[in-house]
Amino acid sequence: MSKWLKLILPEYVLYQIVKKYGFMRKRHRRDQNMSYESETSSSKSQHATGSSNSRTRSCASGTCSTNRNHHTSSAKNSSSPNRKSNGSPHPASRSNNTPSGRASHPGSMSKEKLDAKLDSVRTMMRKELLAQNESIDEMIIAFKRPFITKPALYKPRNSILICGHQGSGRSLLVLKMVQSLYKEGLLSSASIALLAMNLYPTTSQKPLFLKDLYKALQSSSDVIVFNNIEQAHADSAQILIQLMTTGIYQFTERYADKNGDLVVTSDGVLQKNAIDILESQGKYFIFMTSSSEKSILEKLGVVFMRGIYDVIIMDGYDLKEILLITTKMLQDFSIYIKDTLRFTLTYTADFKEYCASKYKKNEGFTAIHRFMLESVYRGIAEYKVRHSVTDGGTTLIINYDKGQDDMTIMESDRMQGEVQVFSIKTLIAKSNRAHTGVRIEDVKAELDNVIGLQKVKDFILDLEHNIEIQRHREEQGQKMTTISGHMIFAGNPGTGKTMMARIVAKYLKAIGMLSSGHLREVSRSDLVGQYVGHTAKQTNEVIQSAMGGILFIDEAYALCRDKHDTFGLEAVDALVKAMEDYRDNFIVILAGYSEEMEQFLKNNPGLKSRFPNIIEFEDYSASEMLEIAKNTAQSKGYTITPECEKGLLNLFERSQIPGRNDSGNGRMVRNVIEAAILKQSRRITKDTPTEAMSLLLVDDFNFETFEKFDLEQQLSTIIGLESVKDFMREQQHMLIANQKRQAMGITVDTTQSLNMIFTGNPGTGKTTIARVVASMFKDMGLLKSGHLVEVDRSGLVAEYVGHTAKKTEEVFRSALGGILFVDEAYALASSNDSFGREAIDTLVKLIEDYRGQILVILAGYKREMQEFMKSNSGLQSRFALIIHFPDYTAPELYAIARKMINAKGLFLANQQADDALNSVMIQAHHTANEASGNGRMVRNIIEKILRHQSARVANLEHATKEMMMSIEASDIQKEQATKQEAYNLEAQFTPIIGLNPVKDYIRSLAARLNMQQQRKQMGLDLDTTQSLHMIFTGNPGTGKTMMARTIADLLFHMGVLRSNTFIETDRAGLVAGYVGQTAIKTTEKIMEAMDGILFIDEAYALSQGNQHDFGREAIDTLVKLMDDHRDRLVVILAGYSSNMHQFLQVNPGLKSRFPNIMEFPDYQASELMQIAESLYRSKGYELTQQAREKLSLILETASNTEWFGNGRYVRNIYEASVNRQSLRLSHVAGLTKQMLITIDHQDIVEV
Amino acid sequence: MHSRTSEIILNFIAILYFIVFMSLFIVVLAVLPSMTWSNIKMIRSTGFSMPNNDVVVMLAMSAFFMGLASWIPGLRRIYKKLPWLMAFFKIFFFNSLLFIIALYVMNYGYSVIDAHRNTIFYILTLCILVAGRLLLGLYAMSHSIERIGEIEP
Repeated sequence: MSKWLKLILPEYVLYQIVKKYGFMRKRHRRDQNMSYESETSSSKSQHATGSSNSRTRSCASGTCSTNRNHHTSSAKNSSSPNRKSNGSPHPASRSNNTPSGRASHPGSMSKEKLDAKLDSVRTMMRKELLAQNESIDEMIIAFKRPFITKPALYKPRNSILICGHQGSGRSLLVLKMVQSLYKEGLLSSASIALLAMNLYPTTSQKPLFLKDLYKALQSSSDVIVFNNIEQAHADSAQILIQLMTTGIYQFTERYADKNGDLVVTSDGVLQKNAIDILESQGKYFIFMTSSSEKSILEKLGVVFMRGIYDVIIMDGYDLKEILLITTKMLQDFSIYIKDTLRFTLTYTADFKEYCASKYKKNEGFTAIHRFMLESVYRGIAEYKVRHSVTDGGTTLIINYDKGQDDMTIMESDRMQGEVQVFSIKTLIAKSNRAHTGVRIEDVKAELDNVIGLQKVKDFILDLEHNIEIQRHREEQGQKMTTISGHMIFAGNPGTGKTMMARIVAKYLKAIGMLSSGHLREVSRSDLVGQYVGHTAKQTNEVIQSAMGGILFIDEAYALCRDKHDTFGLEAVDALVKAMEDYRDNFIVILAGYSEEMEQFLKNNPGLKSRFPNIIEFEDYSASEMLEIAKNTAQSKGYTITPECEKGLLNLFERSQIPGRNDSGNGRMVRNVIEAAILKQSRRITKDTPTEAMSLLLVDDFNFETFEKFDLEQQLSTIIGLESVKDFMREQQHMLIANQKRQAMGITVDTTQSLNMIFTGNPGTGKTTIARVVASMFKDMGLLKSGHLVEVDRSGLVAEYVGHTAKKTEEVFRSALGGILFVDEAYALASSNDSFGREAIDTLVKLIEDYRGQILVILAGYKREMQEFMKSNSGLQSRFALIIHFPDYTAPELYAIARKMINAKGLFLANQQADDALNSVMIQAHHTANEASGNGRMVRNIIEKILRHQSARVANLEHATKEMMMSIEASDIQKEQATKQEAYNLEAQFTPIIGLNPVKDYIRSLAARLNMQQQRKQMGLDLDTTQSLHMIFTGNPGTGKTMMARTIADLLFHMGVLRSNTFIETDRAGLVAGYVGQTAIKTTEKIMEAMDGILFIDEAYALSQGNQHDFGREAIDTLVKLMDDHRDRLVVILAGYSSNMHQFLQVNPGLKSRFPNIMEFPDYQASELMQIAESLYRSKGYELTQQAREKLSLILETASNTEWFGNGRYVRNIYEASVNRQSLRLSHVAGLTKQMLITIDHQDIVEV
Repeated sequence: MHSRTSEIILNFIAILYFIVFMSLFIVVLAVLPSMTWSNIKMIRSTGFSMPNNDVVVMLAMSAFFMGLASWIPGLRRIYKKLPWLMAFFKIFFFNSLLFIIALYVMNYGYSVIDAHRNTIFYILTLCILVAGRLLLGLYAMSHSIERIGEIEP
């Protein structure tokens, strides 16, 4: 069955294949193998437990070399002299993996003994620490744990997490604990290996971390402390997690041990001291953090926390404990003083309390320590420097005077004289050290001096208030919340962003929000590295340098322009991370232009939330700028005279165009002042220096001089365009009226939409008028700069999707303050042009946004512009003023021509030349159409005339200067003559035999056209509606194509058509194979024939076929385009008479469009004979009499039959006869010339 | 290690080639016969020939890209992965070729407006189509599907 099905439907095979093999073949073998592998490995791991654990792991990882290296590394380890505690061979090779195997270790000791030892540790610790009893107990339990649980040898003995803020005694706790445990013999070493995790903030520091970790693991100490674990990079954390949970970390790179250092090596695995794993070596891991347990869980994850067995949270201190510890600290301090300054220090209870009061919850005892060193020690040292004190034996009493809020010192055992009391405050004030503090009053004054920028000032004051409130809260024991101080300064260049950042830095230092208050000003190049991986490092270095101050990133948007800028992204990521890590230690300020910054924040979604304070630096107003100018001048030691103020105001007013960020604001003011100073010095060096050397006068400023705008004068240079000129005058009056109203204080709604539409053909002076409009509006103060930006569709529309809006906006912005002139604007709305539409939409939006800052003029042909306005409803309402530029009249063209000739420095020689020019212009006007270009056409004609003139002048031998410059009538007429070559119709007709009715018709046509030309030259009205389309009917070979060609020549020479293009086509040339293609094909053909003749042979074929035939589409297209281009195209349809009549009946619309139907009658026999004879003659043959007779006979009979082919039949006979003659002569030897040219009667046959 | 990476790269190239070049031409090959058939029908209904070189170009390009994949060893894996593809290519290529030949015959017949001649050529076209299809069927019948799909055992 399926066999037969295949025979009928071979595609059935496909179904069979898919059924058999499936749509896609699966990877059978590979999958089976893999499952086998995984099975065996799992079974292996099931078998291998306990002692062979590590070996299994190395096997499972698939490389047997691991095992061998494992041995090498352990062999190396065991030979290492550091390994005192654990001199045992590799754990994997040992059967006994309990801690009891450790030499000299009390692992095997009884529990009672252990407890006794730990008890003594506890007592020792409490004595040392004075507080934190709970933490000590927990810590002891943590160290006791491995003795009970006996973890595997290769694993860390215990992992402990200690949470507590800075200065809470974490380090002391660990230090004392290790010492005590060592004393009791519970640890083999009293030393501690310390790794600060904040030193490895990026991936690029991973090798460094590994190196340090390796050293720590190889060291003799039993305890490794990882400080600031909350700042560990994910890579480092991962390594630690592996070490904690499995006891082993497998390197991903190849390392070797080189004198105890871990170095990356490229040597093979067989190298002697190659290392490929890190082992935890059975050490205690202690992680210290200043954040809470919860945040560690969040940051490092559950896996990390699972590896921790003991979490110790440092207790808070009560007042008693603080006092106790302070006492102890003071004891240490006294010893320090004794050692360095050789004073014996005693202190009062008040002083002790005062010291204790310096304890801060978030800083702990560090604050007290710092206070002692910075305030007390410095005071005492100053005392010793300034006073003669005997070395040693002097006892100082230090006291705190509550009433004066000051500390005092005095020598207790001074015998002679009075006991002197010194205030520490005054002592410190005397010291020569630089001021580190900034007085808030100074900064406030500085802030107040800044002109404008009220928003920024308010924000900074808000910050201050917040800090104050927070401080109060802290004093009352409430929680202190720091608010994010990171800011974005967005604004145009020169708006004072950098200056403000500097003041902010000082201010924040003064109010105590920042510890150092310096401004680190960087840009992209400082943050981004040159090579992959360098960026994060570099950024971190910069951030570290900004600690305690402000990191000011100028032009921050350049940091990361798009998502593909990996370096920039890396810098941003590093920055963001650092902002989280050092939240309270520094403040980041990003600065840049508003829009670019917005884009930048969009690119990096994480950034926006981290910069809650976006401060807009608005452009300065003109008066603010004047204020700045005065200040700037003053700071440079100059004074601006009051007379300059108006000019400066005007200058600044014009420079500040909203939406354009190129004015420079403050920087521009500085430049203006500096330029004025330069000019002033130039002026003064010329004059004798007087006392007014510091005065800047009006002359020193390069103020633009405003001539009074004279519309009439401007318009007088423009020829014609009276309606436009009237409109301009109206507009000016309106503006003047508005100005007057404003001057009188009457508020009227003057927000008239000033955008315009200029319609008119090319060359009618639209651009010129636009320029006049620009200068008029600038003068009226409606436009600030008054420049003209001229674009067309290509200037607004981009090549790629989404770029158009950007491009349009760029152009628009460049035109702000002036005029945007969009030429041929209708091209934007052509159908299927989504880009053009995008440009329109962008324009409409921008026009709305920058109302009053710009004037948009759309220009184009009248009809197209009307349609264009319909295409977007938003446009119509925004462009209220439509000005039509009519085509120039002939006298206007003449005037323009005169003007152009004068402008070129030439002149017309005499009245004759003048007349000639006039007549040329009249003619040009009559033959002009919308595309010929009005003014531009005149220019072209003038240029041609000039060429003729130059040619003439070049041939003159003795030319005077005048002759060189004059234009003769001949120069002009030459131009006319070239076009008007005589066309002799009769000469064309002579070789055509017969067809007299057709010839007559063409003669009459020629005569009519001639008359029309005459009328045109006389300036009389013309009947241009007359249709020249024709239909030629007649049998084949009756000369239709030939006649059509003659008509093409005729129409061209009579000036009706611009070219003698003759396109011959038929149904196949117009109709296409698929729906919709026909219209395109037909249009293409018609466009090809434009300005000439389209000859459609066998035209009736277009309407044959059924209802759905594409021929109809071709006819419809043809008719439409014929109408559209009535004066540029002549269509001639040709075909058999009967078919053509039928054709016209079927398409009645055609009949009216083709009024001229010409019948080409069949040739008479005699005419055919004439044709034949002329044909033979023209080809160089002669007919014998007999041949002639035979031919005549043949033609006679043939002409009576239907479909005989007329001229073509004659041609066929001719060709056949030539063939036969050749055949006949090919057998003859010794041919003469006569024989070769003679056609005999034998040669003539019927075809 | 090396061979595996190169394997991945080759696979990637093959997938890319399949997506970019072949997928389109598979569709083209599938619809080409029906397209050509509609042309033939249109010629019959309008009575005018419409020489159409587009289909030839389409077939040539399809054959080029599909053939290239079977010719280049690295790309041959596409055919191995999709077992039906070679058979599809063979059957539909010959099918399309057949229809195009028929279209040319039809066009030749309709280049002259002559009802008698037109009908004769229309019948001739149909005959060519039926005969061609039967030949293709014979091939499909006489060969095992493995031979047609050229799938290694």
